[in-house]
Amino acid sequence: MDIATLLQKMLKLDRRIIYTLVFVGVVLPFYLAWPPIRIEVSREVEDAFRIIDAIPPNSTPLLLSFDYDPASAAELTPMAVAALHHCFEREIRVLVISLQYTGLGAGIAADVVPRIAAEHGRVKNVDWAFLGFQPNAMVAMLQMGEDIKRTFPVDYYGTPVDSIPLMESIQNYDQIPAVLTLASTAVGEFWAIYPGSRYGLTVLGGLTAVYVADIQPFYQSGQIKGILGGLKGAAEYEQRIGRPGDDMNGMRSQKVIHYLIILFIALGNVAYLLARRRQA
Amino acid sequence: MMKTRIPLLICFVAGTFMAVQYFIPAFLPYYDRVNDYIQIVYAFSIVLGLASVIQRHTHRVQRRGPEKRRHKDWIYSLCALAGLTVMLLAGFIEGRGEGTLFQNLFNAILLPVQATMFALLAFYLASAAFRAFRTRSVDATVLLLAAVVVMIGRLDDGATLGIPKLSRWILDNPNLVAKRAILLGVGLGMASTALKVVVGIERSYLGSSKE
Amino acid sequence: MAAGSADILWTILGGLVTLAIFSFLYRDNPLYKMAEHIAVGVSVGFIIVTYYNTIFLPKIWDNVLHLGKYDYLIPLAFGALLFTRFTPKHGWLSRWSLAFLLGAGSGLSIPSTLEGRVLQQAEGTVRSLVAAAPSAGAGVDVGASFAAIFLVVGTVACLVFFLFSVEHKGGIGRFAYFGRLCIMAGFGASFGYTVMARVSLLIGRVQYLTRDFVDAISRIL
Repeated sequence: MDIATLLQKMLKLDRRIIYTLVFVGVVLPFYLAWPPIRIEVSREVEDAFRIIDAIPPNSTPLLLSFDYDPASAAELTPMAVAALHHCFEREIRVLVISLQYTGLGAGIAADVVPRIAAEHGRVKNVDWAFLGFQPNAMVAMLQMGEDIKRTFPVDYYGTPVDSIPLMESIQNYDQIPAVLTLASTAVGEFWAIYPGSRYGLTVLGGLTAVYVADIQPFYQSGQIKGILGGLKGAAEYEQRIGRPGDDMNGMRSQKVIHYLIILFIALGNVAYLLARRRQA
Repeated sequence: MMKTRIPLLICFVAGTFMAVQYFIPAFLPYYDRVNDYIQIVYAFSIVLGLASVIQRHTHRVQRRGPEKRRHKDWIYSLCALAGLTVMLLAGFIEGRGEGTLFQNLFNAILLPVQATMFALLAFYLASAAFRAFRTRSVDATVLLLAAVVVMIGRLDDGATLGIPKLSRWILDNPNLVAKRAILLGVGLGMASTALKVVVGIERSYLGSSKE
Repeated sequence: MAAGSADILWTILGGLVTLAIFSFLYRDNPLYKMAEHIAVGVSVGFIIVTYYNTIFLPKIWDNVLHLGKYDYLIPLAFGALLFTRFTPKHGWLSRWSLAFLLGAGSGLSIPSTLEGRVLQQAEGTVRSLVAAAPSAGAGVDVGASFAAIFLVVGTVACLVFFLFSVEHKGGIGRFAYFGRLCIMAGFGASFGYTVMARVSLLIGRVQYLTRDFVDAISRIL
């Protein structure tokens, strides 16, 4: 049997065998701590880190917006956790909102934020507050530029925002040094386009890897000042704050699967080219 | 008049006001009020979608038609309605927040299901890579080569071959110009479509019935 | 039930639901359908409760009944009109609500879209040329200059590629082809990142199964 015929037979492989190979490729690195990986902090992540790190402690809060749904939680929740660790360790206050239109992002925030805050002994409504969610992201972003309390009259738990100590001196974006949007859709760029252009808000993007290539024009033009891109971005950020976590293991699996997919593409194309040559 | 002219007038007045307020600070109090209105009506539009879902599953569970039969998948629709009922009761009686049944159901059912559904895509991607991604033309070859370089470069591998630098170059140069051109085109298109909606040239949202 | 035991049971439920969805890879089956439908019901319930607490109570109920802002009955009326879509005879009333939503949203987006998507993007393209210009006394930064020129020329080439009112022949054709190659490279980069994104989602789920779920099962056994 020659190579071309062998490859053609391989192309007819049952898809469940491919699925099994992928699954094994993801699982094995967890137990073998292989292959070796190297994480270099990219300039986008370094920019994001520096902007957050420059926020004075116990002062104006970082605005953290959970603009994603559970489908993207695997990529974005690690970023949220890392950002919260960073802020709480430096005693930077955090103001949490969600503009994911179904409200599912708020459900994620309601699980993640209190848990991480409790680890650092941060006090609710003093060191952090969760204002809940608003459905129409564009309108909410622009409305917050004038009056955040009007946009969120009560927090996620039903407490009037006027009675929250952290919100005492917060009126609008003038008191917000930066927003870190964790987004799986175009909401990420909405922050740059709407409040970024109208109110000059500093926007940092924690985005799924799908959007990293698309968001580059905003980074180059300065509309977005820092980007955490996908699982790798989360791993880089964790490394930068000195708390390497599960994402390192995740990056090992990424490496195996990337090379597996490159191998699949290569094999498929070699078979295709050999078949074409044979026909010619 | 009632079916076409009044909606067009509402659209024009609301749209013009919201466009013009950007330039006139004196409109600010009214702008804030209209923003609240938009959020409320938008919320109702989402609830409308949910009502359609509930209606669909309720119909499946009911005995309908001349033979008074249920839909063949009625048991699944019953599961959906049961999940809905439990969630409503949990949310309205116990409330939301840490440790509540509402939050636990979100964490234990909704989050895993949605996350896993999208995780299936990785398998389909691998299968497609094997069967479908072919370098049939120069364009496809450029696309696949760029993809492979970026995939390896993101892992910070291939430094001796300069792959991370090449990956960075692709991201900062051809990718940037392509995405910027698309953004510019989309931006101009969006602005012109929005303007057409406001002035009533674009009226597909009115449906097809004549007045 | 102790809080720890409850957490274990919730984790096991999450793992079982995850496995039910993964079973679809073998073939469509009742377990998968059941998990999917339960999740649909739970998500609808979640959204209704969240919207009630976020919009209805603070923005309508409190404003109208406690603060006397009766103008909030206007959006309430518009919202209610949306439901006339369910009735064939009065469904046209929902157009008023749609007209308000679309008109206000479109009007709101026009100035910011032009500024954020067009003007600032154009500025970003041209500004790079200015930055690459050599300052007094310094030499030319070849790398930055090349990048700046590539940015301007490449952006125009990609825009020319999308220009269909001019035939792509001769010089314009070659220029548009250069734009096309840049677009292909850009899509290739996007594809590379998409692979990373999709695999990350799978890694997240597998981490949950191999760590949290297995840990919860072992505590029960």
